[in-house]
Amino acid sequence: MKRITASLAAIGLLAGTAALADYPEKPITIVVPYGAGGGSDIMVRTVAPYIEKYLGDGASIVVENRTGASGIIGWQAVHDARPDGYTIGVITTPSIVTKPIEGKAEFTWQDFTIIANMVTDPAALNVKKGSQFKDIAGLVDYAKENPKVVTMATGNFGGDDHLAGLQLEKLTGAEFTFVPFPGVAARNATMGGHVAVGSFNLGEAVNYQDSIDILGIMADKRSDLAPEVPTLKEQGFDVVASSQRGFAGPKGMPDEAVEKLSAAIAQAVNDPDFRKDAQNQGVVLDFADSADFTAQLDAFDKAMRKIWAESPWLE
Amino acid sequence: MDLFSPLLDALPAVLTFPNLLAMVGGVLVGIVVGSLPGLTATMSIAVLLPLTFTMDPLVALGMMAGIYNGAMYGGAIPAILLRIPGTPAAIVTTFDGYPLAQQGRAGYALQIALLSSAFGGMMSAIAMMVLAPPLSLVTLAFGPPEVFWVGIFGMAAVAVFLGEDLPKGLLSALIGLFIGMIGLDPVMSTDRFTFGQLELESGIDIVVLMVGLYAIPPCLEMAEDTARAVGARIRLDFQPFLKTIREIPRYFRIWSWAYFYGIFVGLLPGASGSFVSFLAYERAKRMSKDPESFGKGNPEGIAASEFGNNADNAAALIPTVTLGIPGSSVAAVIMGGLLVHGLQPGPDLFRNSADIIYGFMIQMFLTSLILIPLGGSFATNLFAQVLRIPRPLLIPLIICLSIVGAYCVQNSLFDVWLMFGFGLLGYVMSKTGLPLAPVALGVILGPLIESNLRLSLLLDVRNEHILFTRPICMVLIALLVLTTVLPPVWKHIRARRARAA
Amino acid sequence: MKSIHNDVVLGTGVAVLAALGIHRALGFGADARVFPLLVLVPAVLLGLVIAVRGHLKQRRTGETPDFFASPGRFALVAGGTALALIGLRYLGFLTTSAVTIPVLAVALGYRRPLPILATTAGFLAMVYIVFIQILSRPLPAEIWTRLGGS
Repeated sequence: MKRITASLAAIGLLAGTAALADYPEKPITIVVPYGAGGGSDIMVRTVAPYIEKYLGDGASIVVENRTGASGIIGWQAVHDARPDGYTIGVITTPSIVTKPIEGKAEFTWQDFTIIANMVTDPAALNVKKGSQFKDIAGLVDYAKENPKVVTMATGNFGGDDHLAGLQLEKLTGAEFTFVPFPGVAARNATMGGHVAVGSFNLGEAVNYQDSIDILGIMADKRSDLAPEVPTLKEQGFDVVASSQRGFAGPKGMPDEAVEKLSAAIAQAVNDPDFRKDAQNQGVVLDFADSADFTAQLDAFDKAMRKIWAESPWLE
Repeated sequence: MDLFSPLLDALPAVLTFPNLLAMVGGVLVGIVVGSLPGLTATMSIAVLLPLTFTMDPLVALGMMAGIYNGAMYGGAIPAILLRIPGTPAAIVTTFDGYPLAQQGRAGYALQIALLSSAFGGMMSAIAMMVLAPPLSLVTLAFGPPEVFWVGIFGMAAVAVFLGEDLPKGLLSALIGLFIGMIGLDPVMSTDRFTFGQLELESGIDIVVLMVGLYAIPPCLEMAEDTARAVGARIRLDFQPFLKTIREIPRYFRIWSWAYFYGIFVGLLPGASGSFVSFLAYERAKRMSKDPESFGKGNPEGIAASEFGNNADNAAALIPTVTLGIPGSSVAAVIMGGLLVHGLQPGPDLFRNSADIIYGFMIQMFLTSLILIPLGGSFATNLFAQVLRIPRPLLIPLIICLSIVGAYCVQNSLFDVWLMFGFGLLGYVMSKTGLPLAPVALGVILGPLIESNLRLSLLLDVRNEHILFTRPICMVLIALLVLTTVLPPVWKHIRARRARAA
Repeated sequence: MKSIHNDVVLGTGVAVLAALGIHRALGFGADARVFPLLVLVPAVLLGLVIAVRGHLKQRRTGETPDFFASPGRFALVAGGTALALIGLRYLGFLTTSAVTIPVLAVALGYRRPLPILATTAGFLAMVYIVFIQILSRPLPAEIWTRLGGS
């Protein structure tokens, strides 16, 4: 994979991009495929000054929102941009992987130059405080005995919350009634007791433990953000699901640009001031460089294609 | 509970110089942004947010409060002068604001809008100061079944906006409901009427629709109107501000209804302030002794609309600060601002950062108050000069402004064409006597009603008919019958009796 | 000369479009089609009501209200806007406005150069300051920057 990226970068260089020793020489545009003020947007606007700082030499970043079609419009814009390192974008899982599988996009994630991952927010199952469900086993048993009676608030169908719930169903044979709420409304419905359980990410749940209990997170190991919350794995359910946010550029970006950006993002993620900002926003930082992130995406892509082939999550 | 001591404790910090400067600056930016269609408070706060990272949290919040309240008034300016709602919430302001301006009373209309906005904002801030924690319970109690009925309530208000020709009024409402349906279906995410256009998948942005529907048709009609096309300036009629202030008591009754609706809808997540204005306007018209004058330049219509959409402001922040559930998209960005400064919404916010959160509430109040001098003197006078521009020059200006506004919503050229398409639709509607107001109401409420209905049906896993059996639903249904079904029936019976006698 | 009442055209048009919409909506999933049908079926009926009513009214009164007050000027502004939208993609927003405003104003019969120039300049300055400087909105790139750069 790496060799392919490298050779493509070489082609990019041959195609006439000037030597990039002094990268960046002009402002870098980061395309956010979601609206101004949303979670991804605020995250990028928060980290941008730190990336500028670590790129050095008065580097500047312009954040551009290209919204629509669950991210596809923004990604298409990144995909079509000139691979000179001056237009990159935020990519998020599962959409960047699942939308092409659903046949909604004309590209796949392999058509991008993967730069780095920044955030991995594990999926979590949450209930209103005082709920009858105290752990995952209790929830699953009840849902098995009473099929379709347990309502589970999720985001849009096909999103990570819904996919997480589907994976749990598949593993245990329990049956839930999924109720798709837009945005933070899933948490609202859970806090208000309108649904039995809410499937939303740890980052959205961690700061509201006054009114909700987090039954478990779908990660390999416990999160630094909430070390007291057990994983589903510990509780005997091998389900891992998360939403990742990282950066990618058009295919064929020069190696130097990727390396410089990746290094700057890594330094930003380790900056104590930024870590504090991120903690406050419930952002679960998890840096992965181009190779690691690519491997993660590849594994996720394979898993999703398998699920889609067996039982599509959308009609 | 001692209410005033936390407020008094927070006051000195609010009155420091940098803080006041941030509020004044915020209000000015807000008015400008609000008055330009396509630019929203949400967008401006999101873009300016990084600048506030290094500021003192209260200074940052003061700026946000200013932008928020300023923008809500700013939207009324083009609504009155040009019949272009600067923000979706100002749609209703056009109904009477624009006719008043055409009658040469633009100045007066702007003053009423300003006072209503300012008092609406202040009263909303007071509700937030006094009742934030108990009111946040409303947010939690209203699930999809309850919100569905609130949506039906709003749809019942459409009767007032249908105009004289019933079939055409109803057709307009259906056109609105249809436009609201374009995009991904709210539950199954299937494409509906997108014709394979990716740009249509997330639906049609209300700003794009409104700019096209409201701004373009008058340009085309003004151009056609050869006799008045050249020359013909409009008088502004600025009566002394104090005189307008003395008229305030006349609006108290309308304002109190607008207040109730504004607070209530503000607390409901997902229901935007644009719909408050419709409810308040309907109530004002129903209460009026002269309902015929509405839509022809009755200042009471402006008072209802503008008070309503500003009363929504602080109310939408109540669930934001108490529960972390933003009541509107602006509230969502402001929550982002709170989080960046380590202010986690929830009960702890009131315990640990009382100075800041109560300070912020005071800022919500003060920025509404500052609106009066800033809006009254500087902004209103400046903007009203737009009417002095000769029409042949005004037409291309409005067109260019509409283009940049539609473009900026999502940085999309597609949206600009869409806006133009809606402009032609609006022109045809205006020529054939189809009213525009029901379209707006349909677009706003259609998705709200459909998604909450379908979520309710999904939630009803035990077949308990939760839409009809949940207690709050039953109360809402009773209210609906009392306020919309009974009055016409009652009127009919009385008319019959009168004839019989 | 016998012509057709506006309402007949409007009503028939709406009924036909709504019927096409129904045809499309029938292809949606079971739940997704309910709401569209609830809107489109009444729209067909209302369209027919309006058309029939318009026809009867015309037969009774013999009036046919004009649709366009001035087709020429309508075409001028609508066509001008369409040209501006095409120009937007290639010239950029500021350049397009700088052309559109004076040209359209003159075409509409306003011939005083000073106010035209002042207003155009004021508008461009406003857009530059508010949209580009303060809120850093990325407007369609100006043709000048593309010619100059790279």
